[in-house]
Amino acid sequence: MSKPALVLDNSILSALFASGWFDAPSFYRPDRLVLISDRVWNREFSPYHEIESEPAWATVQEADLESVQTQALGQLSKPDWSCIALAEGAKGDTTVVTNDKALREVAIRRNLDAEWGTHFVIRTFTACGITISEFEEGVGTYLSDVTLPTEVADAVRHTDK
Amino acid sequence: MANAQPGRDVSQRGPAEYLDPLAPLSSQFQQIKSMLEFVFDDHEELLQDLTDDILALPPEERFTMSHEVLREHVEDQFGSTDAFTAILPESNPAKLPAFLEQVFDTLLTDVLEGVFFHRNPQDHLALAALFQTLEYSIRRLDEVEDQEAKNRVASSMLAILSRLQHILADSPESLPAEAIWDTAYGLHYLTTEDSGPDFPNPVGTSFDEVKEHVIGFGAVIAYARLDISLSRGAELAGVSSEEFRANLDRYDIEPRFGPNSVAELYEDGIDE
Repeated sequence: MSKPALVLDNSILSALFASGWFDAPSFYRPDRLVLISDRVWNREFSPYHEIESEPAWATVQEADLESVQTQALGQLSKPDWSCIALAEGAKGDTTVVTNDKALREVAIRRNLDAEWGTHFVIRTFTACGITISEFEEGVGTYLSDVTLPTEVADAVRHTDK
Repeated sequence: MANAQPGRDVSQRGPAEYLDPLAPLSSQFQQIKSMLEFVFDDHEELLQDLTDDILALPPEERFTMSHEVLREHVEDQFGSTDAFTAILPESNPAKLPAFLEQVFDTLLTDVLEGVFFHRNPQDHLALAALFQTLEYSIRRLDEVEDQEAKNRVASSMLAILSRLQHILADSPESLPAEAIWDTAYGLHYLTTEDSGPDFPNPVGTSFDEVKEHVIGFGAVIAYARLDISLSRGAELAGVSSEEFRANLDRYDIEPRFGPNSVAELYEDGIDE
């Protein structure tokens, strides 16, 4: 049986990087595959962040954009569609992890599982993928990057382990 | 300046009616012409002459002095502006700004729909920037108080409307470069005295740079008004997601990230 996979988009990768939690997803191996599309990695994320090589905790994988059938192709970018294509092409349970509402809506409309990037961060933190001191150090930067309503930001800031 | 109103499911819509960015112009312009019919005997000829005279001016005059050209044409036809004003009450001029704002908003909405169905809809974005500029000019007319400032705003509006009238008469296959130049000039002259972000004077700037500014502004409008992703907004603008976020900040537009509530945060039901 295939391992469940998480497909991370640029919004969550950038937020993790900005907060100093970029290697937190390494926590999931070997329980889950962490997938990043080559478009997201090579065109959206790595050229704008000081990272020279792909992380050991993720598999950067080519996505077949031709496989995606849609009328309104312009609702999402090509890197976004590559996340959808990767999730749709993966075997087993796959979840698209993003903080972007439009990408999440499209994923759900296409019967994919979706998870808020912030929920993913909380899960990682409570399961000890991010230490308490790392969390305390990075949470302010994370919240300024993802611009959430005060109520949600407060809940994130006061997450208990 | 880029007002926000996203949030519709577009997945089931068909692309055919949104392929031509100039298509919505014709019907909306017909509405404007129908209004002119009530006021002018030969509105077609007047429109043609007025458009030609305005477009013959260099940009620095076109976007500041076109109201004078309109005044001269009105005086030619009616003898004086007072005589013209005397017949206006029957045409209900007080409703004109609201009518035009509605026309420009409809044009903006229609042209932006093309963003959903084109991978690289540059003409749609440039026209969106142009219609947003026109819509903003209506709001500025209401905001500014002294007559000189009103005249300058009216001149910018007249300059852009003249360009649109000229484009419609030519029926080009794609948006001509002049429309992009005029949008950039309009944005510059309309924003020199307001409190929002400034747009640089296009004089001495290359066309590629001007186009980049106009398309970039169009992408911000698209993001503000359509339910598209941040990454798509960046793709439309031809910049990185980080640069696009900085552009959104200039116009006080927040990225649409979620969740909206604590309940929504936990609704995914995924647990370790």
